[in-house]
Amino acid sequence: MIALQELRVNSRSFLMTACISVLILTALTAILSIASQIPDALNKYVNNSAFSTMRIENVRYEDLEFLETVQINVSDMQVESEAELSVGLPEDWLPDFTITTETEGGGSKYMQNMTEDCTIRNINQNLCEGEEWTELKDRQNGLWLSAGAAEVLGVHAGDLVSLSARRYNSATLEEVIASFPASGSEPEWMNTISVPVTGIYREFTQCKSYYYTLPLYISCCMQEPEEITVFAKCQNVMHFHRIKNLLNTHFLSVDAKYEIIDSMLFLIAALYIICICLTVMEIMMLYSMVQTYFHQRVQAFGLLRALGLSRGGMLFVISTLIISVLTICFGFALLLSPFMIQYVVNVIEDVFPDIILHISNRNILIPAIYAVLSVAVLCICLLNLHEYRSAYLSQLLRNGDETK
Amino acid sequence: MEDNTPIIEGRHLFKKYVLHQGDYYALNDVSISVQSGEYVAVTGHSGSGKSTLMNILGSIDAPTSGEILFEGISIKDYTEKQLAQLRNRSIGYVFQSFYLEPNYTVGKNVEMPLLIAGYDARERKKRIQAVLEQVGMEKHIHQKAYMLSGGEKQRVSIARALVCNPKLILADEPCGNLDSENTAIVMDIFHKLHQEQKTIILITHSNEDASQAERQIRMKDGKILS
Repeated sequence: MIALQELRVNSRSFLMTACISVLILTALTAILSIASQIPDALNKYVNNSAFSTMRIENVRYEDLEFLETVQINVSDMQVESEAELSVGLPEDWLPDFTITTETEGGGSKYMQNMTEDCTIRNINQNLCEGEEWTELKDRQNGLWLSAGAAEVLGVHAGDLVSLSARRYNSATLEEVIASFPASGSEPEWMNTISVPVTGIYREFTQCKSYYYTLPLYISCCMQEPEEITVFAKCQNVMHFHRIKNLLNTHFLSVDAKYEIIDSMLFLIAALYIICICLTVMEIMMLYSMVQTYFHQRVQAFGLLRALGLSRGGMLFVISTLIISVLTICFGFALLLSPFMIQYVVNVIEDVFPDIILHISNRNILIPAIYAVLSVAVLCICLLNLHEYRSAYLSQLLRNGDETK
Repeated sequence: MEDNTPIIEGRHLFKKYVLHQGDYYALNDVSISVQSGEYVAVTGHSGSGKSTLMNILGSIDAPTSGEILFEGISIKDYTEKQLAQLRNRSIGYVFQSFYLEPNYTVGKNVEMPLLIAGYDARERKKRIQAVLEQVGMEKHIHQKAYMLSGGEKQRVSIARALVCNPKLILADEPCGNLDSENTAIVMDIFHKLHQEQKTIILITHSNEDASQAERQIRMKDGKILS
């Protein structure tokens, strides 16, 4: 009640400081909301576009397990080996009837806990027959055909197809065709195995005609792939450089275009620095507000003490009063901040048109800032009260007379 | 409490100020005792230490040495909270400069000690009405304090001192800023309070005002003369 009366009586003296506080808090709320949105927006942008994909070359088969421990989403994986696989029907298999030469396939690996794996996710999402590519399937021989390839070959999920490995360094395509025996028996340079089609998927963007698990590749070639190129994206772009450095220490070549990430990371850092500066400014404003208030009301405090208000009660009254002012300022700031967010978002979208930000000031850090400022107010009030602690009430009343 | 126990007693009170010129004793071994229902006037010239004595008796100031007993109990070891309660419940102050909050209404000014004491709204309203009637200011309850004349301000100040029904009223030069007409009104209020068995310690330099009290204490240079 006393605090409310004080607030009502002193509202004019608080007005100027409160107006500046509203401006600072509006800017703080807006910038904080935007800064906290950018990582998510950037993650979405990076994961939905081909931009800033890390190309990790010369990955060995055994290194794939290490990749599972890194916070990345593998979007694609290319097995770069001299051996190339061909898929065909088992009964009348001929190299020129295979789909290998025109629409090649690719190997991939289901990475544990990496549900964002683009290829496997696309296969599973577009599956029209057969079984999904799961971690369990990944450890077995598995072959998924596109609907088009399945139609060319005339097969369905579960039907057997031949998978052959051919070595270009030991035979040219012409040699292969010329030496192909009419009986259908295999030449030395070729290894053929029969596998059932695990699943059939509808074609998706940039898809290949077939995908196989790496164990199937090893079964067919009778060797582990020597070079795998992994295309991956950071699960959280905020850790981009740390992850890139980590990968660089393990692999010879890690390449990524990360200019936009750097720009955005710089922007986030700049925005947070501005937030810290604004918070400090707001604390200074509150400090000045409390100091002025104490100076103006020294006699009133002396009187309240003389009338029986204890020091604890005094602290309660003053801190309640200042926190009430702060709360009112915060309320106004929350009302005004969407307008400022709109303006800043427009500026950011002009520079980075692909980054989509929302006009929202819902952010966990805003109550945290409010809490920090409230604690700061309490500390400032405590400090001021401590200064008056040594003074007797008669002194406070006299000082008030002198101030007047 | 026994009948002869003073409501307030000061024993061997010293108040020393350390100045550039040397130590200055505002109070120099002052002992005073006031019985319940007594009307005591403390007189003396400016700088004689009477206001310092009032501040110390009212626990607004602390003595350098000596002891204050309120109803026979020493307040030396009182905690800050106990002292605050004592000031709120048992002592009413009337200051020369009124110390009213100019932007508060009369009612709000009088309400202040009741808010601190934690009375409920109904009780506060009842008490405010009663004390304002007692000092003849009930019609001004909604008026802002800065709009009042000096005499009216002092009457509001007295109402504020009385509102918690204190056992002791300490008045420091209550008529110091008032004309003779208002002085008479204020002194009349104190006279009536005395008739209601209130204990009053009146600090004044006016012999005429002091003469209305039943006992006079003269002070000079921080000492009690008589």
